[in-house]
Amino acid sequence: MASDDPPGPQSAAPKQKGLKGTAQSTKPVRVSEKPTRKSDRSALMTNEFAGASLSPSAETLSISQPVPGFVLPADEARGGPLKTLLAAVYAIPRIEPGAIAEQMHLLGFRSLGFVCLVLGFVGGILVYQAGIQALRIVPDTSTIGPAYIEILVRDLAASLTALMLATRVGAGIAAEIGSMKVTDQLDALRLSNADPVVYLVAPRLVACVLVTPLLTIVGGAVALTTGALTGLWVFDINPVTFLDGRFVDGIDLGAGLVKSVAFGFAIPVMSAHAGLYTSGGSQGVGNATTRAVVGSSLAVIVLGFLIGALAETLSAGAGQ
Amino acid sequence: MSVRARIGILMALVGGVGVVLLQALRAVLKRSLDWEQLEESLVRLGLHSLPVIFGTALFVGGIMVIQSAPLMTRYGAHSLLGWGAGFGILREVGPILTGLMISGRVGSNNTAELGTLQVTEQINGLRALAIDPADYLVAPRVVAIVLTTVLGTIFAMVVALCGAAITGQILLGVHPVTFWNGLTGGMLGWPDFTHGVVKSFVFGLVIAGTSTSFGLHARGGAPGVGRAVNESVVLSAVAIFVMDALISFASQGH
Repeated sequence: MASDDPPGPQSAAPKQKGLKGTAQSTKPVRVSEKPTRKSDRSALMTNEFAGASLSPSAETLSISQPVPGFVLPADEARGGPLKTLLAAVYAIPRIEPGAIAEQMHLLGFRSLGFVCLVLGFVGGILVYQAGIQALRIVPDTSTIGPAYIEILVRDLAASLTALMLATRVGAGIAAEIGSMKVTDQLDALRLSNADPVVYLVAPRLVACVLVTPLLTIVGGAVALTTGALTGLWVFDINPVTFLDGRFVDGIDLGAGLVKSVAFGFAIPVMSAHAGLYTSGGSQGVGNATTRAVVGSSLAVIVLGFLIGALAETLSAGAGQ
Repeated sequence: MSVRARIGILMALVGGVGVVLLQALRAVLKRSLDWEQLEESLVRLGLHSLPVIFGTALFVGGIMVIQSAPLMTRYGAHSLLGWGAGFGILREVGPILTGLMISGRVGSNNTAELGTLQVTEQINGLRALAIDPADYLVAPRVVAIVLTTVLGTIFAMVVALCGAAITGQILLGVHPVTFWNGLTGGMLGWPDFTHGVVKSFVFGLVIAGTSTSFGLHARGGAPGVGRAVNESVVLSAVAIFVMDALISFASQGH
């Protein structure tokens, strides 16, 4: 594309210089024409993100964006969640210091009580219901604990924590970014040369990916405790018998961990996507929140199914 | 914030939910609720949620089978797969996950709409036109959400059992007839089904009351509506799990 530069760059370069105010922008800026062939279009797509991930002295610039240098177009091109994910990942190197820690506090630490409360109740219910049913078939309470621990490690701790985060964190992200969008604060950020994806989305993505496994571990521990207490009070199971991890193997641990990391990616991306493309007034913010919660919950359930099926096939292969 | 202030806020929340539910009950008993609004709410909140409920239930059925697979293969008890999955789906997972999805889709939508009406002062406008918001807005939505939750849960149970049967066939090689025999083999009965339906009715009341009350108490423009939606979804989720635990323990395994 460098060989067939239109006369445009000469007129675009001073504008770029004025906007960015950096010394490096005296270099000629390549402006790509509107793509006609498919290969051109794919080159434009990669350039779009690559240019955005560089510092303000980016060499590449595409005219498909309303404001040069920003990761996502404002409203002109509505992309899918995948595009938001790519943009956020490319924006990670430009995150401001301290933003991730702040988001980890807001998204993670503030959700701790909520996650513990819900998982504590679920742990009690599960052991109670499963225990009553198991006693109908085998009058042996010694396997309730190990089986419960296995299911908790494989799936329940990760899935339930993620479902709770999808409602709390997902709705929060969408409501925050969405109300900034409808009150034109995102455009104000762009005017101040702060990319909304770098400034808002990427810190939330990184914080959520880091925090979800930690919350899963804490929530799982709480569910384990309430489960053991229910076993002790209702079925008279000695906690030493109950807390027996003999059914847990490496595949179970791996499946739980992979699930929690995958959920940590899915929730902020789905919610931030819903927030970024909010339109309309306060009704639009509400709709964005709805889309965020439904989208992240569905993503959690579908990803949980896929990773669970994969782990099950792996362990069946290992057993033979 | 002091503990007393927090308790005060909590009481106000519970009171708001109670007031909304009582208003709806009164409108239903007096038959003064707006039937056209009810019909529209049923289509918009209920019928349009079916695809989400369908997708959730199908995968949840699959997850139930995947998670009970190690136990089944360990004891070679493939005939129990239908019982295991069916028990979980009918009593716990069906009502809870349908409740969570409806709270996410319908409840938050309801809060957003009512919140928008509130912050743009359209509810005062209704009062100025001598239309009672309780009959016109609150009662139709509460009835529609409760009906949607109960019927949606029954629908989700059927879909989830189908999803479980399909996954069992593909992943574990359990024939659907074996699955069906395990399901109807005498260890599961109508009490398990009604247990789930009772739960879904309570969840419906919780979702309807919380989302309507938070929407009507939204303040402060678009950010206020976003905040109200966020709080109502979180509170509904907590309330669903707490009510689930209470009902499970209160029914003593019946």
